[in-house]
Amino acid sequence: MLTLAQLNQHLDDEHTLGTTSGNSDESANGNENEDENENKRLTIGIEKDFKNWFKENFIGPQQQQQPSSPRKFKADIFDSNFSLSESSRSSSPDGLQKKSSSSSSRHPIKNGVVPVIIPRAHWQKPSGNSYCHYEGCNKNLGLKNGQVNCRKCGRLFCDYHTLYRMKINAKLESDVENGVWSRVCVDCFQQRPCWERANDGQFRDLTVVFKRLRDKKVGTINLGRLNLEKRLIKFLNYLELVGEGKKSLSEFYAFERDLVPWQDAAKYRKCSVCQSPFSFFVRKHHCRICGSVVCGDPSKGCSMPVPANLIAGILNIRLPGEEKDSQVGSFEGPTGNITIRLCLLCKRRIFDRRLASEESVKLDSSDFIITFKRFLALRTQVEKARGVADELKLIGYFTKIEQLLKVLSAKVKVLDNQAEEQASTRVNAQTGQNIQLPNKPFNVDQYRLYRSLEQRIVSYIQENLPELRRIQQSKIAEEKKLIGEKEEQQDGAPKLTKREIRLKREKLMVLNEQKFMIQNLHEEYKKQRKFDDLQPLDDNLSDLRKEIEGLRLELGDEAF
Amino acid sequence: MVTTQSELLKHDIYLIDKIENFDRDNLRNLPCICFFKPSDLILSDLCSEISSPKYKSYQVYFNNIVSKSRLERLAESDDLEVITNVAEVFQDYYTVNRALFTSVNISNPLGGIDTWDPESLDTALDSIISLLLSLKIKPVIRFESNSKMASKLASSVNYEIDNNSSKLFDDATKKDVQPLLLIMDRKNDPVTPLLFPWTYQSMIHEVFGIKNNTVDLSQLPNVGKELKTVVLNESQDQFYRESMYLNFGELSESLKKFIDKYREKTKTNSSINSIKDMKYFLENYPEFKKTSLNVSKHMLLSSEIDKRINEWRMWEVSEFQQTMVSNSDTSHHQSELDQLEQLLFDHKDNGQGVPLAPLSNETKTKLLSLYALKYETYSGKQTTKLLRLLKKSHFPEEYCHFVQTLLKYAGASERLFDDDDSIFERVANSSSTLINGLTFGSHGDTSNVYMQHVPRLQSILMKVAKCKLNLNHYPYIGKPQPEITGSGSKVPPQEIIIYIVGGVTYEEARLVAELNKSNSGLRCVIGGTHILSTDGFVENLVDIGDSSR
Repeated sequence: MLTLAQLNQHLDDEHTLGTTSGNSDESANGNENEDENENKRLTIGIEKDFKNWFKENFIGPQQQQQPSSPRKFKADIFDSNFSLSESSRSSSPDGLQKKSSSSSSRHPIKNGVVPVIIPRAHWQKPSGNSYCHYEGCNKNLGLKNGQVNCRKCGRLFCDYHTLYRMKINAKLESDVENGVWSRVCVDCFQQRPCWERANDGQFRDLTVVFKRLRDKKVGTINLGRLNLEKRLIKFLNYLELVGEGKKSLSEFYAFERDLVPWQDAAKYRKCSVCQSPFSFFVRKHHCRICGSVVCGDPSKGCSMPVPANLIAGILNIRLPGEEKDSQVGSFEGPTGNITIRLCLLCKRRIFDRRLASEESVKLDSSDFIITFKRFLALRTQVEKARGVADELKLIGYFTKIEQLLKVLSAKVKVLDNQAEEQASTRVNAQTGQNIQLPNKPFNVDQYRLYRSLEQRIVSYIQENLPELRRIQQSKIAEEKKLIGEKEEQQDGAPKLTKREIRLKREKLMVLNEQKFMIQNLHEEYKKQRKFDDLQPLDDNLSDLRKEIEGLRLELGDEAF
Repeated sequence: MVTTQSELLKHDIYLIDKIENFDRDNLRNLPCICFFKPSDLILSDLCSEISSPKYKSYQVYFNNIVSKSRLERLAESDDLEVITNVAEVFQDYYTVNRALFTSVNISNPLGGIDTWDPESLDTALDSIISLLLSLKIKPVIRFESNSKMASKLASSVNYEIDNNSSKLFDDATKKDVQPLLLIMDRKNDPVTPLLFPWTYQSMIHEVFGIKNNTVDLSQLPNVGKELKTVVLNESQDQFYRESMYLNFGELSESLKKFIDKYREKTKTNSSINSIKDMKYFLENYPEFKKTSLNVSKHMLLSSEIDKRINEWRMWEVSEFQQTMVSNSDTSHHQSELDQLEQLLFDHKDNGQGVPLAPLSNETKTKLLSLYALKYETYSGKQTTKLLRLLKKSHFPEEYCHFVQTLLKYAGASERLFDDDDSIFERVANSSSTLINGLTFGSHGDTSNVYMQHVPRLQSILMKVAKCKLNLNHYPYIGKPQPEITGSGSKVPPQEIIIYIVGGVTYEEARLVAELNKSNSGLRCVIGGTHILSTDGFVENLVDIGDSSR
């Protein structure tokens, strides 16, 4: 009997492509049941035969060889395999020549650019039963689904998966500028660079521009700062002389005035920093290193007498006379209490940067940073251990992380209490009660930092919990097997070998840990009032306890 | 668009604060990452921040173009050299869904009828520019010619592209076809934002209001602490991703499946008797917790929506709304008027003589405005009579006024007439669903009375795909070279950005999302000044009505 597939095949061979007599001869030879199926074939094929006839008469004989369905595409703007540029396929150079001249009338020529001709040599030749190359489509190609070559990759596709167009050039590359619109398949369409790369999202780094701008500005600032610093050093040097008794204090005061031209105090009626007018109570002062007139209000800090030894300490200057004492800033005698009046601006300009960097170094060793760094280090170690599947180490690291967490939570709890206290005092202060604020200012951001770090570690452990449990389980299973083997070997031997003791201890530890976990869960549930879930937890807890007890008994004195 | 703190924690960001908060403590040991809109206010805050830095170093990211003068200002104040990085990442807009964006913080772009609120214009411009830059697109711009707002925005965008930031737009990816930026005006389709929507995301917005991807549920009674505010994020919530565009019927089915799946998972843990069950439970505990929270979130949302729908009698109201707007035929005037009167004056009963609970004033307003819009040019219209009657029954003045404002804003004479397609007509069924290689989704679901109406956007997009958008109604800015194939036909754009001045609706976003899903040859993004609910739309117009009075 002839199967339906065979019949289909036959129909395809016979009728799909421009039917020639040779073709039908071949199929007649090949198929013995020809006559029996003639009738069926006629009814099914009649429409197709009509189309073939139509094609022969209207499309022209030179396209007869073209392997394509004559079906008219719904989307008329897509050229089918029968576009009129067909003749370019004829291999003779004459044909090519003719083609370009004929196509020039269709393609609008801009600036004398010769229209690109897309080669067709790479086209896949259709066999009788080709299928659509789009992944997951697998439709049989033919009259029903269409049969179109992707102009770019040349593979065959069904109509639906070639409803795409892009510009390509003669080298079959995507060419936005000079390409010709061509019918392509989904894959080629989506892989073209202007489509694929569009998802990057734009990002412009302005750091270089910014730094150039800043350098310009900061250069002058730095110059000014150096200048000020130089003056300060001169001061200190002179002080040194005073300290050694070579110069008198009055000489020093004269030097002060000489170093910087002081602004004329009479001209200024307002402090150049805070702009408050001078009066009997708001006195005029001169900044010793820039010479400007400022007020000396200690609460505003527009200018302040700064002890000379402090300045030397911050600038980290070692004066020649100082080496005797070998201690920075320990001025004795008349210079010990000498101060240099600096205005706020100078102070900022000279010291801010130094102080900031110093502070950051100092704070780098703060509790938070240390905890964070340890967490980070443990995390990288976990990744490493996971990479080589070193399970014991993994567990070890996790216990370390848990320890870290415990310490941290203790700290957070302390801070929690502090925060509450703070809140209550604030409330009290609002209600008018006069309560002393805590001596140590409470650092809110610090508190938030600790809390979020705690959260982070908890969530990290939670994330990794399933894996961890799995590892522990497999370990336990392994151990159990080992123990079983051992027991088989020395049946009835009451004394435990060292190895068994070790294994049991480990097991005990694991069980204890689980107990701890469940207890925590228990607490949590209690808090959330999920009493329904409490019951099974309780059961398990008792189970665990029993098992732990059993193990303890077995181990006896060797338990720890 | 909104990320959660736990998400940031995963990247080891432990402290989040605003620059406006001046009480931040000194933490000189920590580096700081800043993300800002480059506005003058923020810049001055930033300048004072870095001149007395609280943190070790600063990496500054701006979400839009930073002008040279602003950069200079910043450089001047950074004499301590604490800034290590400055960059622009173009994100001056909210990404609500995969294909939906809005401008930032616009509540009402209308300064009057067809005029911009000046601040909103700037914000809208900023958001479009940064969107184009982030997509690396230099588009052709078209706009709706009857709208001054759209044309103003379109020319501003064009100016910005050509002048201020020419360097940036030179980097735009070269495309086969230039992408299209289509700027539309809400007034050309006032119907869509007046109808009660029936798909999940739209309904959530309609009932609760989605703000920055979060929904505030704290007003509801008996809500657990964890569900006071819920986050709805397409990328993190699988169930939401799958069902955000489903209609209410489909939604309840999918929710049921979701819950069954969850039950199956948790069934084993409901009877933890052995250590083995226990271990299984512990292993999956975080996962369980997450899922259970998600289940209860969606349960809460959908049950609350259901409650509201019944409370508002939306089943019958919406059916009437939908049938009224899905044909332009005026021959049903009398029957529709009767039905409208019944609803407006609460004449309906439940069949046993007991009157139904009265409709809210808002619902009535929306019904009346739909009627007024549909029969605006019909000679036998009863709009004024209805308004008079309503006024007598102590109907709020502002809502009566709203109907008139609406007609002034989006009446027949104000709307574009796209080749005789009325907004009340269903998209012609005869046309093929396959246009130029693009598949268009449903043309209004005739089997579902609640989903009959299809936003006007659909027909506009179909015309874009056919390259048949009217050149007079949708003029280009400049004169782009149309792409023409060898056989002489025009090539439609393959990437489209739609911006609706006056607000976009989630229904339109759904339309675009479905279009994208069924077409791999098209990328379409829709956005608007803000996202409208029916109430939001009414409020916006009431606002300008007040100011114009």
